Amino acid sequence: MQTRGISKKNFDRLPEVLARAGRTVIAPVRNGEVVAFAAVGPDTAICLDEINTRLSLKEFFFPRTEPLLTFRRTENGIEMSDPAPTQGETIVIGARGCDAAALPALDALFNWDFRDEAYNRRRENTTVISIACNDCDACCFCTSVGGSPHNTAGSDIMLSETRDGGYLVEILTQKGEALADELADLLSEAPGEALPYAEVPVKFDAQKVRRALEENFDSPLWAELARTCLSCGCCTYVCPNCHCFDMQDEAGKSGGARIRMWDSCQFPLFTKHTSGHNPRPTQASRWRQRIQHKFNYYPQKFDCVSCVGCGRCIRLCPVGIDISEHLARIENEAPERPADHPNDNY
Amino acid sequence: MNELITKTKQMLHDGEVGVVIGYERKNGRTVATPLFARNPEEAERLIFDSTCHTNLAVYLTREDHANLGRPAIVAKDADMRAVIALVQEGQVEADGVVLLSVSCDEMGAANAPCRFNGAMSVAEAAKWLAKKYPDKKIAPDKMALVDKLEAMNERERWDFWQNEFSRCIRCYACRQVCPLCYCRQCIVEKNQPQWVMPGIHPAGATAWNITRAFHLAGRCIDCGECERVCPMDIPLTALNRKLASTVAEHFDYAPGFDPEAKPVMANFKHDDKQEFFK
Repeated sequence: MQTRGISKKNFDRLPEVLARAGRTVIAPVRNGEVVAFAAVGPDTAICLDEINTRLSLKEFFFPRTEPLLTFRRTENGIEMSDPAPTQGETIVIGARGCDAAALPALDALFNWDFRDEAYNRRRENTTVISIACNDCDACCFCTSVGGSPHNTAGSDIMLSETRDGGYLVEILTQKGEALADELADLLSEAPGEALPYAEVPVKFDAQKVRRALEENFDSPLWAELARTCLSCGCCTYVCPNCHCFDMQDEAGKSGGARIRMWDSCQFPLFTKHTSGHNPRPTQASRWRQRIQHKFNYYPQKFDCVSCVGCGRCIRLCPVGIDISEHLARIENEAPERPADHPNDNY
Repeated sequence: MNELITKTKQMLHDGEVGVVIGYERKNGRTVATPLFARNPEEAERLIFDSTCHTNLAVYLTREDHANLGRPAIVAKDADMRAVIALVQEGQVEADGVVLLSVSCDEMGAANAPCRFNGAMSVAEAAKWLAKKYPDKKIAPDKMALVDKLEAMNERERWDFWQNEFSRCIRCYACRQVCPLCYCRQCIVEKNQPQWVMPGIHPAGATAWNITRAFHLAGRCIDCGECERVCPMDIPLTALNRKLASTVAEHFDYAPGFDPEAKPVMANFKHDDKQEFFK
């Protein structure tokens, strides 16, 4: 790994220097109270004021809604076509380490039993410049899920703020090297000293939580944890790891599109069968699913939890539910399975 | 809030209610979170201050909570209006709930003075509200955005809302926190056939947000929770307040004040204005 430095002045010039025809540059931008990732032009100011952007980076790889195919009625019948690729070369500036770390976890899912071409094309076309954290808030818990304020997973280049106000530039991948070559004139060989990273307290032990989850599919704790939950989809949609989707047709008289869009396991409709039966009829069963999926089923399948501890679900929950508090309770309060438990052999 | 805790403990101890739905503070959090206190020990955790935003009336119509016994809820004025509106619409029995009336001089402001006004029945809450809000109107300062939008032409207004709705992710937090959005099946969940475009794009978000606002016409009690919880900061109350002012103007009606009053959309008077029939 190579390291370089970049001054604050040169960092602010990145949107201008990186601008090219056919290339999209994405960075956090302030719009009123909301700081969100958006395409930036040469003159756009990047906003790094917030601990995290309102929505995560995921929509640039797994969009809120995307057409899978389009169809239209013609004189010769129905004509179907593949939608044109929507995203060419893309550079992300200023993602936090947690958001970038969600990308390798999503890669596992989108290349599991089916290789998702659109997702993979966007991943291949995108270079991620992330930025390490010097601050955290009460909702951050990256250190409980194997991350850290300086987590380089999923990043091509990582920046760390230095004492002189510039950034230390760590070049982590080949894509990162190619971009660093392009930016050679802006980079210095002698980076400043990085400021201390945020100290994010560890709130639970993900391994112990996983064991407790395996043993407590049925537990009165679920109804208690889910009691205040109002079953909206906010936590799942602001989550960088949640990836569930629905597919539906949106059509008018002359044609339309088969679309894929975000869906949430917290909605009763999510698992409702055509017969009318719903295997997850209560909020307790839906909240259990969200936690089991992230901290038990996902590690079983892919060797990593489906959570990077960004804290968005806690910050934005309408009723202030704190998933890290719930996980600590599951770790400490869920009963241990007796040694002769019948499920021991599965 | 010692009086609130004392009263709550006594009600739970005497079996007058099975659960008290109030607020507690979780460590390090700036906003209070709902608490379901089922015994006097749990009631010790109750708080009320300017960060206790959630309109707890939302829990009264939830099937998941039906087995907790007769509820009492800690209720600000708007929350009491929500309960009265639910009584008006036949969703809550008037004697099925106790209201623990609380007030805060300025919600959201640090250290704003707050008080417990005592336990009230639905009828007593109605008297309290009638005395405090004789004209039942939305305060002029809350109409600032509506007024600004009224001054725009149609094109500007459309552009304003398209820009706002373009952020909507259709998480339905606005619907789920709303005490008056109690439908067992929301129209956006009816998919045979699909009535509202399901996509998370400006057209779908516009269809959803307009549908939501219209279904709350004459029913929204202006607690503002939809807007507060919106993760994308969409100014949803402007839609509801515009419709509330239209209902007030044409039908001289505001929901959530009189538990005996028929809801405006379920009522008919011979002298109702009819100029919209053309």
